[in-house]
Amino acid sequence: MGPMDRRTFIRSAGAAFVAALLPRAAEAIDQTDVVFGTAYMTGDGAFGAALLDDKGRTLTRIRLPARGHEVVFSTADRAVVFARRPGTFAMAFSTIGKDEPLVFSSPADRHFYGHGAFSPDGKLLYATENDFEQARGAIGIYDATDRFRRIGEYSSYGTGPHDIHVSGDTLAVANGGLETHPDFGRTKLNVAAMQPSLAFVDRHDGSLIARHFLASDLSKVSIRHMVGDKSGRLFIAGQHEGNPARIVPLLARWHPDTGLSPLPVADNAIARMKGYIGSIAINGDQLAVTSPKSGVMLRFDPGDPSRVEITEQPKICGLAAMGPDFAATSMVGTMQLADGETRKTELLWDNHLSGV
Amino acid sequence: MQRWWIALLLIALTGPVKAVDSQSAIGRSIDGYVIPNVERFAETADILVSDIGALCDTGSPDMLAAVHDTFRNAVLSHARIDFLRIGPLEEANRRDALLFWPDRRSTGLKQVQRIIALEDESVLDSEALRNKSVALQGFGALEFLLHGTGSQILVEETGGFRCLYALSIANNIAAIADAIAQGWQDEDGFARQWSEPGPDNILYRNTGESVAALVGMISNALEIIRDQRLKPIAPFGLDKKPYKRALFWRSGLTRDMLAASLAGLRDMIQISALLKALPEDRHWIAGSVAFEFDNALAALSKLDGTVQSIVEDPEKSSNLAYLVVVTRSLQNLLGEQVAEALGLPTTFSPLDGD
Repeated sequence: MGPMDRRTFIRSAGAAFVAALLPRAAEAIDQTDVVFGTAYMTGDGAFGAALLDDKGRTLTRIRLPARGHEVVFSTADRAVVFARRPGTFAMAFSTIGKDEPLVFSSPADRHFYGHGAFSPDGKLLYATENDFEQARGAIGIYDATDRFRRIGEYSSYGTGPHDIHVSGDTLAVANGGLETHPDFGRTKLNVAAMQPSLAFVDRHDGSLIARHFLASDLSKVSIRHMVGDKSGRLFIAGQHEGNPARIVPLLARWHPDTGLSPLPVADNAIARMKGYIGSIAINGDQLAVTSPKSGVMLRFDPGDPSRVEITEQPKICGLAAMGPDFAATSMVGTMQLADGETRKTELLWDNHLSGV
Repeated sequence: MQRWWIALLLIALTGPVKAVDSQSAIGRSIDGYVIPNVERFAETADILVSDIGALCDTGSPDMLAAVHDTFRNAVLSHARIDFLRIGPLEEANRRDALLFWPDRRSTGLKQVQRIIALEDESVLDSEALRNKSVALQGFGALEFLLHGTGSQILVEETGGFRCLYALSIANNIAAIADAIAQGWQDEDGFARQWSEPGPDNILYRNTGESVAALVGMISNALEIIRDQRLKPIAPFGLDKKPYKRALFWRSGLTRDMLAASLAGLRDMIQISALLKALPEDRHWIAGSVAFEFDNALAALSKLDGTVQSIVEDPEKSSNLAYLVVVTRSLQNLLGEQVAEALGLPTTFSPLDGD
């Protein structure tokens, strides 16, 4: 999809977004322990974003003109959903239906990668973007207090940035290493020479604080998604661009004292992911990762990654902490709740599930 | 809490019966298509080496014409294996080393021109070449040397730098082609892993997984043909695309290479008999697949002339736009419909990472 202005968006989305807010959604939000946000598809090919409560019930549905990716929350009553790469729109909406959703776009020579993160005070939104003519990763900065006006950008210090995290004064960016260009669809243009990295960028001046690479024999593991824990560790999940018949570590951990290193999960568990981790989430001492490609979820204590619990569900992907457990959604419309119950809807959930 | 998961696991283990019949499609694909075609590719690459060697020795115009024919044969036999993006071709950057494409910023052209200008002899040893940029070592670079600006020098001197660099590339292509053929022929190698799924097989734990890999590879092949080879030159609305975005425009092999890939894909599907495993109420898919392959190859056969004349002629180039539609339809049939009909766990495009 090319650049899109607000009018075009409203034309394609219809007037459905405000109307889609379900009755008493605001009250339901008050009553639930956790609110989840996720993008979805419908069986007939429409797209949107939804908020779900802790029972997997849909609180709000917002139509999108094309496929969305991650939903990020700033405060309890505001969220942004990004277009999936190489989309160029994002939509900010009130989680309690307070005002009309607001559409904003990446500049004409950038597209979104589908991920973003708010500053701790909620005033700024950082989005991973592709400067596709220069094949350079960028971090777009949007002013959440001024209708998400784009006020600047930083380098991501790598190619193909994907997930981004804010921690205090630092932005952590997963540079997947893959060059793509809208002229060639989703074709990866530089697999032989890819150099994925984990970059730490100063949130105030955009300077590079540190950049970490995996060992050269793992250079085809595209660093895509990450999750942090309370002790300052980051866990990183990758997607393998090399021979699918080769089993390589898809997970890594980063700690300020020890740097970036592969997480030694057993080969037979990693093999189940078919080279592709779609989502990662942490809850206390439990880390969970999913592969929609194989329909498998792995769950383990990263302090003892030799013992892995493996569960299956077709096209499972979205993951978020819930109570002492995890909630997981799938691209066939199921939502597995922490208490073991499953809810099936007519909506097909997209890659990510975010909780607030 | 795990009961629900276990129920699904049981379905996965006992379920779709049809996938059992489709397992033999893997063995038939390997024995009936993959091995003969990787062997054929290795043979054409060897002939390329000897013919370019003779060209370097003689500088004869007849030999250059012969090399152009041999180059064509090697490109077309490569087009029949380039979509086997699983196993040996995916090792050690072999696929990109054979053909670095798409090359959006003309990296290959710039690098090759620089090498020629500097007469950088480090590329003349094919083993050293293998460790250089992939854009310097495959068919793209070789096409420029044999057909690009300055190629006239090949018949103006003997043992010149340009020819020796071409020979080094040919040696590299031949070595990679041999490694791919050996990889597929290895009795304990990837072919066995793929065709003998089971609980102890770390890659393919059951029939559904190995058949899904075949269906996924076919689906991915169609997406590559469409997104990387057709879309860069197919007109979108009234826009004309620059013909230089066509793969192999210099050697005029754009159309024949596309046809070789599509015919190869059709042959592999036929030899595998994969579509015979479809349930009776889905037999129509096989008919539609055959119909669409015929449509695609018929549209390609209308594209005679140089790439420039095709891309710049609205009537001819409309066939390119039509091919975009047909390959999408084929991908839908072979990727989604077949996968669903065979009850495969999922098909998932490797281009789909997010």
